[in-house]
Amino acid sequence: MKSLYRKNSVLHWSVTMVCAGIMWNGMLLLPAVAYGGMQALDDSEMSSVSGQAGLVIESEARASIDSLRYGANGHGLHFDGIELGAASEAERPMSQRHDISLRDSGAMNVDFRLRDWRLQVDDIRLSDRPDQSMGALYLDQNAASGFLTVSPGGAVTAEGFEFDLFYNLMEGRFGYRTNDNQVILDDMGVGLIALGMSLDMQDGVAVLRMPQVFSELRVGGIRYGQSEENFRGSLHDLPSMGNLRFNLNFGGRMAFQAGGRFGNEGLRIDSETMINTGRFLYGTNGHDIIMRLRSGESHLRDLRMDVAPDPQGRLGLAFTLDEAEGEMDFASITFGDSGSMGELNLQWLFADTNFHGEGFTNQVFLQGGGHPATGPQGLRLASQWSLQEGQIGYTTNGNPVYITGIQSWGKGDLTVDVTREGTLEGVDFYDGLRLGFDGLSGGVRSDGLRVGDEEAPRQAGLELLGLHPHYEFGNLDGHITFGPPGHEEGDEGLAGMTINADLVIRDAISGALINDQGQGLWAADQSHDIILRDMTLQVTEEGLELVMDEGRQTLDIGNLRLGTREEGESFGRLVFQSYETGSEITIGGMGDGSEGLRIRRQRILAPEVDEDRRNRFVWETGRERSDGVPVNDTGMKLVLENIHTSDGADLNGDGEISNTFGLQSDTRIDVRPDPRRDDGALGLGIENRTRFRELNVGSVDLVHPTGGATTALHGISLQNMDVRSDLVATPIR
Amino acid sequence: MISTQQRSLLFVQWCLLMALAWTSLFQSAVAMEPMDEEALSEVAAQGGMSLSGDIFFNEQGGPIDNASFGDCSDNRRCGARLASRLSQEGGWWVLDDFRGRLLFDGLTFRVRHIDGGFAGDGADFDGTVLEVGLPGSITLEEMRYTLGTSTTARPTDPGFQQTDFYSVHMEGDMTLEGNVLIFPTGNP
Repeated sequence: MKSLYRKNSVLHWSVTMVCAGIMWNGMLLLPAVAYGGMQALDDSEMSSVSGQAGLVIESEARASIDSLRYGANGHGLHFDGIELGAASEAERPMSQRHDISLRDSGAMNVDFRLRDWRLQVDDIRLSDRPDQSMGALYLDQNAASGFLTVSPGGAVTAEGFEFDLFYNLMEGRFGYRTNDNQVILDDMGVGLIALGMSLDMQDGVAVLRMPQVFSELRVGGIRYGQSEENFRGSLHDLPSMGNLRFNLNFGGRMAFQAGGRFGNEGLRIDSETMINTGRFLYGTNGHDIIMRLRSGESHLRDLRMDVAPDPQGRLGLAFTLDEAEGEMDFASITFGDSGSMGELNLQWLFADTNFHGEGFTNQVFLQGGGHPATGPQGLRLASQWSLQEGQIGYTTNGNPVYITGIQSWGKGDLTVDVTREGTLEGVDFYDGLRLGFDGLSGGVRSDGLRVGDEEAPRQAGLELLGLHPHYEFGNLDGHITFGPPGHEEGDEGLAGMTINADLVIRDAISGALINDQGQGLWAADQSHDIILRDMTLQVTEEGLELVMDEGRQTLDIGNLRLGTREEGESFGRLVFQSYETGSEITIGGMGDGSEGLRIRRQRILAPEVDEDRRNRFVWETGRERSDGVPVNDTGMKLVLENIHTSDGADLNGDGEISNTFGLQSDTRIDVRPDPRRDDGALGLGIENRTRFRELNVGSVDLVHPTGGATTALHGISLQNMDVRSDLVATPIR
Repeated sequence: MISTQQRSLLFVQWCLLMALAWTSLFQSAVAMEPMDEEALSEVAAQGGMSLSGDIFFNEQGGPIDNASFGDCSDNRRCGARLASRLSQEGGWWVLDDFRGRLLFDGLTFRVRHIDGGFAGDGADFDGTVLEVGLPGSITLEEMRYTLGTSTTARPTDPGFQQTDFYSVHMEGDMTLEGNVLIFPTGNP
């Protein structure tokens, strides 16, 4: 190993970090940290050594390092305020024990046990912006144990190593803190069994082989808290956003070598991973979303890690990728206790591609700061993505449907902050983990549906589900904040999330019914504003349940036109404005033993409050043009004002007409033969039932740009409706 | 009180007004095309879809259960009700007790470019249309509605009085052949 380290300092750092990453127990981490040139402060160590069958080291230690710098190509990444000590109490040592023994075969075995152990980093900064930080991290290992057996001789070279690793963590914790707000993965458990692993050096490349790895990650509660100090002790009084459990049984090979994409210094990783089985679970209150992985594979080609400037000249920890290809095959997806929704197959190839004359690649630059108004800490991901080809296969009851030829591209900044409710610099923030979008643009397009097999004729059908085979957006700003539950009285103790969102989309275009010549129905020049307030997310017996306190949307389609993406004749401008209170949506399985997707919605369309809070529809045509572009509100308009649902009676006894029933729909989606076709051709089956007590329109107005509004109808009321449809969509014969 | 004859006249006027509003405002054109023209046009069938299925309206009644609306098993009305009015203080035109079942096979939707056919008109047209291919026949089962006027939108509102003009009961197959072509013609 010494000769390897002398060969290249970056490679040494990389291999050390990989070993630390895989094993991340205190025993290996301490020497690694020491080599990095860090200054250990305030060390206190009490050791007792006994040497009967080997060596036993019991220690209580505390170490702190002011700053650790990783440098590459003249740029630096600083880890400031590193501290290793007790998890339970500040300025106390952690406890660890190592039993080291040598076997007759020449193998060395290390049994390790860690108690009350915490590693924390106060700030991660880049050298060009010392005033900004990516945030603080801490990792607790309150009860960790395992062993590491190292044998000389690798899989292909005598100089290599073979090793087995068993690691078990209970009562772990991982925290991420920005600006005194924290998200904590609490009651964390990790299990890792990796047998027959080997590390070889081949032509300057360190090759890690992992024939079989059993891994498990358990998170008892995802919690949110506000404190300038990292949390210690029990956090059960903080509400839980749910629990997680991941299992993965895989094997693979990873190759590490020196060399960055932007200079000589950096790290290159190539990997091949074959997944045998796996399971992903997210649960709240005893009900789970479970995705069972039957098989999968992943190939990363030329993934590089550098510290380098992004295309805008901002320094970042850069991850750039040449190609990522893979597939995941899920045997079942279950939401709650509603039965399997079916099988899911995902395939992808991320690689450099040209979209609309512009080249896109796959890269992310991690930078400090987050949203500028939240404070100095936060994470910014200057990103670019390019999905050259993807495919989604969905199978119900043995009948598959495919969305083929999926491509996606985009660029812009994502920000990640842990925030608290309040207004800073005119921006509203909410409690929780905030995922922000800053100047993001991109798109996604596909061939559409193919039912039965991947070579079946292309057909429409996504449109029936409110999806589009082609969607692009010129600019996306805003955020989605995932916060803790418990805003309502009586919700204490319930796990789940509260979601707030503000999304502003501009210059968007979506296409439907697109034929082989690229002609279709295009909703161009779109602006879309979406506001969600206090939407709770829970997994229930019936599936994933979302209940929103208030939801507002304005979708302004500047030109609904027929033709190609670039041009066509226009039907005019359409504006859909919606204002909902107390609406719900539940996504789950069929609930009757068959496979399929069932979506139940209850939309409460509220009566008009003001110009921002109303349900309204506008169709405008005959607009005047300025520089060839139609100018809004200069044409003739048909306006449906104050659209709202109603119970038509006082059902809750408050003396006023209530609005509790809303617009209720129950949609079942599966793949099945069209019963009316003799050839038994498969189609996308959509069974829907929509009911409402009353759907009212306040007035239908005709608005002249200068003459003003004339009311054509002084009210429309549609009552007592129950429509059930059972449709199968197939290709046109 | 207006007479039944006056009401009928008002209804016809209302229908004409609605038709005028839709065609003039939307500035789009709807044309019926004979089936045999289809072979003459250049068609990109892929990307469109063919829909088959059933649509039930108030199969077992609607969600309202009160003195006026019920579950079709007694003398209460179990269909849907559409009420609208032309003036602020006026009465309501109602399409009441609407229910029944539609069955169809092969209702198609696609976008295509027409630059030929139609007895030579297609070449002059040279444009893109949204084509709704009619299913040939639609089977109607127990399709019913009643047309009338009412003093209030809801049958439960105070002072409710309703005069039914006529009721319709449709049963059997309805032939709908050809395509409907929808395309914009005016200034957006």
